[in-house]
This record gives sequence, C-alpha cells and structure tokens, in this order.
Amino acid sequence: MHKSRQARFGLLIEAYAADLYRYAAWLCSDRAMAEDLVQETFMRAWHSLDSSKHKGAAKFWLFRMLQREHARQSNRSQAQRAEMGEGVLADVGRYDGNAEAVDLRRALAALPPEHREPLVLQVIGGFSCEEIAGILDTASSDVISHLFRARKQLREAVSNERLDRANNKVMA
Amino acid sequence: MNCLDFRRRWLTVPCAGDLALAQHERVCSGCRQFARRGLVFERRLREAVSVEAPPGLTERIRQRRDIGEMVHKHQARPLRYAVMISLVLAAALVSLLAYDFLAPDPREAEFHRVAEHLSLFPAGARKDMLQESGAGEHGGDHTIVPGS
Repeated sequence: MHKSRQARFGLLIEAYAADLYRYAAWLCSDRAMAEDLVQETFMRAWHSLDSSKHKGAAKFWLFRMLQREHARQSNRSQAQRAEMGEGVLADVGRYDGNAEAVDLRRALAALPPEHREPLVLQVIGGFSCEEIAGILDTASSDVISHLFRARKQLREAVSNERLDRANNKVMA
Repeated sequence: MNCLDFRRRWLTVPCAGDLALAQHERVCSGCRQFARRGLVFERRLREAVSVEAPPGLTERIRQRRDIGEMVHKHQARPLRYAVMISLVLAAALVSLLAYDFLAPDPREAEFHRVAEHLSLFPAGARKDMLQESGAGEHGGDHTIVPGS
C-alpha cells in the first residue's frame, strides 16, 4: 500500500515537476520561491494523495494546488513580492539569448497577471479554457477574454520591439 | 465564419484544428497569412515561457517528502503516548467508580446482621428489646423484616 503510494507519487513528480516549476516561476518571478512553491505543492499532494478527488486529472489537481499555495503565500508576504518578471528575465541569458526570445519574455513579464496567468497555463499545461477557469476559480468567458488580450498585446509588443531594433540598425 | 471571428478564435485557442477555422483559412488568404504567422509566434511563445527547471528538483522534492514524513512521525509519538496515558487513566477512573458503586455498604451489612440476629427472638421479646434500646419510643416504624 505504502509502496504503491510512493510509486504513484514518484510518477507524479517525474511527469509534472518541471511544468509546475515553469508555472511557479512565472507566478512568483523568483527561482528559489518557485522551487519552494513546487516542493510545498508536492508535500500537500503527498498528504492528500489517497483522498484526492481528482484521481483522473492529476495534472489539473496539482496546478490548482500550486495556484492556491501561491495565493496563500502571497497573502502572507505581500510586502516581499518581487517585481513581476525580473527574476525570470534575469535567467534569459542562460539558455536562450536571442533577441526575439528576450523581447517576448519581457513582454510576457509586463502583462497584467490576470492576462499572463491563463496564457502561461495554456502554453505550459496545455489546459482548455474550462480547465484554466477551474484552476483560477473564474468564469471561462473571462479566461477567453484574457487569453485574447494577452496574445494581442504580446504580438503588438513584439512587433514594436522588432520595429525599434530595425530603426536602431538604420540609425547606426 | 468571418475574418474577425477567425482571428479572435486564433488569438484565444490557436491551432484548435476545428473544421470552421480550416474552411475559412482555405478561402481567405489574409487569414491564412495570419494563421501562418500565428504558428511561428506560438512556437516562440512556448520557447519563451519554458523556464528551465533546476537540476535535481525531483530529488529535492523526494528528500523534502522524506524529511516531512520523519518530522510527522516524531510529532505523532508524544501524541500517541498522551492518548495511551489518557486511556489508562480513564480505565482506572472507571474501575474505581465501579468498585465504589458495586461494593456493599458497611451500614447496610450491619443492618442485615442485626436484623438476622433479632429474627431469632420471638416477636414480643423483640418489641421489648427495641423499646429498651429507645428505637420504639418516638413511635417510629421500625419493623424489621429479615431478608428485606
């Protein structure tokens, strides 16, 4: 019983830890905090593994739990919250230094959280609008609206950046 | 489906792959271009969002789970002792009360002993003895029925 529980837990970690970390990094913009958030989420998952109502939707359940945990931590230490995106942006050079990726990441970090969160959930988790609404505890019509605005703003921001860079090249 | 609907759908759930989107894309070159650019944008977006997970993350999660379990066990031990001690005390209390309730009252035993003793005498002698002891002076009803 205990072994099968451990095996199930191991599978959850292998399957979702990286995606949860990515989501957490965009939520709290700090690598250490993101890792702590993921670990805390898995601790909660371990304790409620047997009583889980979402046995068929472990991914949804974990993302939802992480989102709740983040909300709890944010309420606890609102004063300590870093400026959104700075922590994630600081890591850009480590693994993808091309200008377009930097622009896109900067634009993403500059989005209001209510636009960014559904978009990140959709891109990282591959969730449907209904699932995102369930994770964020909001209406799916709101999710659709946020997704639309987020992509629109990102496309505009990236094309503006590209235009600026082209102008700078011409000026030089 | 018109161009506005097409683009709105694309910006909400790209690559949805439904029939209406595909049909419109076939007949509208502007939206076809829009979708093509959209696919490139989505690929870049996925790359931009993909923050690299730190090495050893899964191991650290397992370690934290193990530490959490150990702490949980150590915290549970005093609680287990407290429960056991409470149970022993409760059992002791119950047995004490039961003994008190079930044990014969010494006064009642004495009464029965005297009653048995008096029943050996005839009724007249018994009345005299009671009057002598003062029990019958106040007219009290001290009828002794042995075995009652």
